Amino acid sequence: MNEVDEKFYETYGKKTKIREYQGSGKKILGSFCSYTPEEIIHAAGLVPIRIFGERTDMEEVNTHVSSWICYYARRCLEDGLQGDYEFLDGIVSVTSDDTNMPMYSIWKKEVGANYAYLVQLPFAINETAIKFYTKILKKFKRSLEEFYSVKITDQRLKDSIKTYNRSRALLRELYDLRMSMSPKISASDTLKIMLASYSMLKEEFNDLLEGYIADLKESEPLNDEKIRVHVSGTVLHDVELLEIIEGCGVDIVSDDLCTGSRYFSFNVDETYEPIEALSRGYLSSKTTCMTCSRQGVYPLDERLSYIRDQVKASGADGVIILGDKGCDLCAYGLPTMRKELGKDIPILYLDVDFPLAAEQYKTRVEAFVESIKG
Amino acid sequence: MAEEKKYKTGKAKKTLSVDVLKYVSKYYIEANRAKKKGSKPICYHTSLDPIEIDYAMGIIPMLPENFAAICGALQIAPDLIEVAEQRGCPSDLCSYFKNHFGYMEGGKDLPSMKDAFDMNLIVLPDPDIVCSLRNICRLHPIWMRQVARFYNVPAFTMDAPQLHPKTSLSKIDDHYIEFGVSQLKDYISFLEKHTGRKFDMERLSETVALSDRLSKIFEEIYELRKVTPCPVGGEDLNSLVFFLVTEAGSQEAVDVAQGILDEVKDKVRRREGALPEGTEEAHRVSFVGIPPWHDMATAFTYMQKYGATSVDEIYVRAFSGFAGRMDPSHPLESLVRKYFFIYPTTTEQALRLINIEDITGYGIDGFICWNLTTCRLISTLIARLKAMYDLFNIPYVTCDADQVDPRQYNVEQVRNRLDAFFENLEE
Amino acid sequence: MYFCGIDIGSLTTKVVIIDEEDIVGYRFTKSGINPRGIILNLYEDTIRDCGIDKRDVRFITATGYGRNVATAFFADEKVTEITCHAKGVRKIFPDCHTVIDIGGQDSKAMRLDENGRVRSFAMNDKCAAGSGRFLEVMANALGINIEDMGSLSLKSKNRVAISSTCTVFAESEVVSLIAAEKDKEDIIAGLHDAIATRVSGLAKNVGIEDEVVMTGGVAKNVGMVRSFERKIGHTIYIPPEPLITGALGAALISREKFLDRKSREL
Repeated sequence: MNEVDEKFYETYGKKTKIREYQGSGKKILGSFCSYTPEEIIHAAGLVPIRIFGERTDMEEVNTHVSSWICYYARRCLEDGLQGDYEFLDGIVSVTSDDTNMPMYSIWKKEVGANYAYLVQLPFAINETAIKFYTKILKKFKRSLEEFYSVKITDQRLKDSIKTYNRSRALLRELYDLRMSMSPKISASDTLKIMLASYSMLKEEFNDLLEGYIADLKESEPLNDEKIRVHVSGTVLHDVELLEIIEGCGVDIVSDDLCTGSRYFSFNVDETYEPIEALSRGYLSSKTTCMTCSRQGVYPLDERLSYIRDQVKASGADGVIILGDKGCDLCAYGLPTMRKELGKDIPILYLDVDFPLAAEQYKTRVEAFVESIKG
Repeated sequence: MAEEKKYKTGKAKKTLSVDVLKYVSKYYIEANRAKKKGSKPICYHTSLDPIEIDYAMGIIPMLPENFAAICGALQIAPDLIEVAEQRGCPSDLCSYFKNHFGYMEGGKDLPSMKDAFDMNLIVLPDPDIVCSLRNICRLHPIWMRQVARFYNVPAFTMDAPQLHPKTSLSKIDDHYIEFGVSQLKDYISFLEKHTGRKFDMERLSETVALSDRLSKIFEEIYELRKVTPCPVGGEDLNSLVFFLVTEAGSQEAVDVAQGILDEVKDKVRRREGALPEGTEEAHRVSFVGIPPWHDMATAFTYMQKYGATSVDEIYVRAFSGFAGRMDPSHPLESLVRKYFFIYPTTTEQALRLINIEDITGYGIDGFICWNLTTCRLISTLIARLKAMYDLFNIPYVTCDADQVDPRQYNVEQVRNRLDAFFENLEE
Repeated sequence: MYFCGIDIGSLTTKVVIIDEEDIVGYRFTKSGINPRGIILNLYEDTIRDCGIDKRDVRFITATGYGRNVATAFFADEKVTEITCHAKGVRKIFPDCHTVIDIGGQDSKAMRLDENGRVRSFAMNDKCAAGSGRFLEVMANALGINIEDMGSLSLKSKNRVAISSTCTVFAESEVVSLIAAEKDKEDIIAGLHDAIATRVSGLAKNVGIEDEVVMTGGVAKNVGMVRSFERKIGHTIYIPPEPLITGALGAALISREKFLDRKSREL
């Protein structure tokens, strides 16, 4: 077992930290989207974690949703229905896409939750929307205060924002080490660290990651001459898929995944009043947001320019697009994205569905590598 | 070359005398004429946008979704969808979008479309501006921005946030209404800026009054459908939706609707039902989901052999608004209430309430749910409704179909399910 | 000096031996549950056909789904069938820019640049409608031999339209067409059109440019090829033995690798 597995992956895979927190009487809240304002949950003395589905055999979920719903939603719900998330005290979801909303209702009804809240995320971003979202977040704060009988003071919020900002900064540092010309860490290991960040309190995670980054800086680079690739997609928590890609002679040096750079590529400005700061921070995330966008801008254009910047910075030789068959939000922009990106860089489109069709993926990725090498 | 018509699905038999297709075609012809002369700007919308504002400002609203439904009914959608898929759209993506995307990306010049041109019917004029209100699905605004990018025209997006499940329709928080009104004002400024037309609040009061009148007439029709035998079936109501979707705020729609209402009243007076003469009304069903426009015969006419009629369609009612009457003296607030609080944005409780009322008021024996294979919104809605039907022990059947694409549709399987459903109702 | 390419596909395994110039022999057989034995026997048989000495075969490249198995005990190198098909087709048709390959489980389209490199490619998704397997299922439903489908379809006077793009739905559609007493010939022509529609979508996705070459077992079906031509509006060229272009490409890669290695040693 390597260091990453031991230090980080276990907290996700075996929920070691979560069990520890529970032992000390802390309440755990699960979320479904990287737009969840975790800082507010954290400031209430609760533990925010992200829900993922590990099972690939769908047994229970088919009675509740059709087979053409996105794999993230289906896998989460399957694990929930199978009782894997019994330790949760509640759930917080965000109206960031059309599947998230009904998922919230289905989870509440079929899996159950003591506390459940749906945060209304605005779509078209401008000052009006920021003002509106500030009110929404204040309502969310009040709801937590009432349900858990706690006072979320401005000071506690500020502390949480600081902790989360530090977390985002550290993750950016880790990504830089992956992006360097001789990467010091693989994408599958990076994902394991990301998964740990979703499964423990951020202050503990920060200390752990800081130590690890210090060691990593001193370590030897992964000695290889692989093709450098940028990976584009939505939420991906499946380490195996990245391992398959890496196994075909690829270094994934940058990404715009929901469970990747999208989670930390923004900052919350600590000079604003804390709730407004969060509203501005989350709505400012320029990365790749497919669900929100500035008024008058086609979200895909923002996403394309983000990907182009990443590709430039990482010196990637190609882009692999991971498409979720069940995700309309990804699919809408796909033709334009392939056309536009294809103008300057080789791209490979992989439609991802579980269980993984490993052999076909290998063929496609290897052929892609062969076509780049020439 | 002797080739059979590619898609063999069919049209439903209508019972009302109004020729909706005539009005649809007139609408498209006039829009194209205005486009050619440059007399009125064309604004593309996604459905359930506040088009009353367009009517007040002399702008023609065009809905690519409505266009897709027509393409579906005329069986030309698959050709356009194939073009979209060749451009890289996945097979599971919303077929309304793919229909329009394929049309933009070269489908317009396909031979099958040329035939339609000859019929002088469905030519979608290019937009001068586009708008979308995010109240039904997240994809709507993305769709319209993509259109804006393609035609290089200005785009405006509005946002109706999902209400928190604990809010009730009668007690909507002020900040929701304020957020809506301020966006409508932004939209009006946007229109003034890009069309050079002046906005007049009095004119908007008039179009809001017309729109309200239209909704009210439809509500009267829904009321009359509670009568046994039901005077008018779902096959008619689903095509009448055109007036609610694209002509809310016009005088013509009100006039046509008034004529329809009179005809329905007359039928009630004569105790004439929607079923063919000699068939007794044995079952009353409610229709859930967007209808499969490519096979309305299976969706509606097929059930007639069981003496069944669709007496209620959530899909139709969604377009007349259900957050109460509009008040022309407060046009902006009224529009916010009509368009911001609809099915997809409203609460679980509201959903439940409405459906239970359907059963008692309309005397519904069961629900036929059309589970759309490329629409997550409808699929997940149906998932929730099914749980509710189970809870109350109400019979239902689900049919998997796409709204315009017959390629992922198995008509034998669907008819088989309908047979089983009605056989069990009869027992 | 001889070079070998072996293509281990889901339905068939193929071996091609070339010398410094051209093909000297090839063979193919059904892929079975004992790939190791099948590969070795097929290889031995081909060597025997050619009447050459095994020691003169300098390099072996494996491709297809079984390429990893083959490199474990037999081949020197593995390359995906996508690169191999491009290579093999270019040897036969030097002006080819688009390759459509329909194999047992997969269908794929590739666009080649001036130098014969794969510029872009697309493969079918999970659903098998549009593969050799799909035709097999349909031949079964119709109670005919798969080999006869091509010639039967050419007799069609009234092509039936199959609207479903799903194997399961299409099968039930075919069953109901049989029940409606439609002519077999017309149904088969309709099935060919359905596959052509689906796979030409892949081809248009990567961009079609002359010359278009079709490979894989399904390319032997002349009715299928005609449907494709109608659908895409380009003439389609078929290699003399469309099954072996992947293995031929692998053999050509063997030769390149060997010469490259040798020149580096010098």
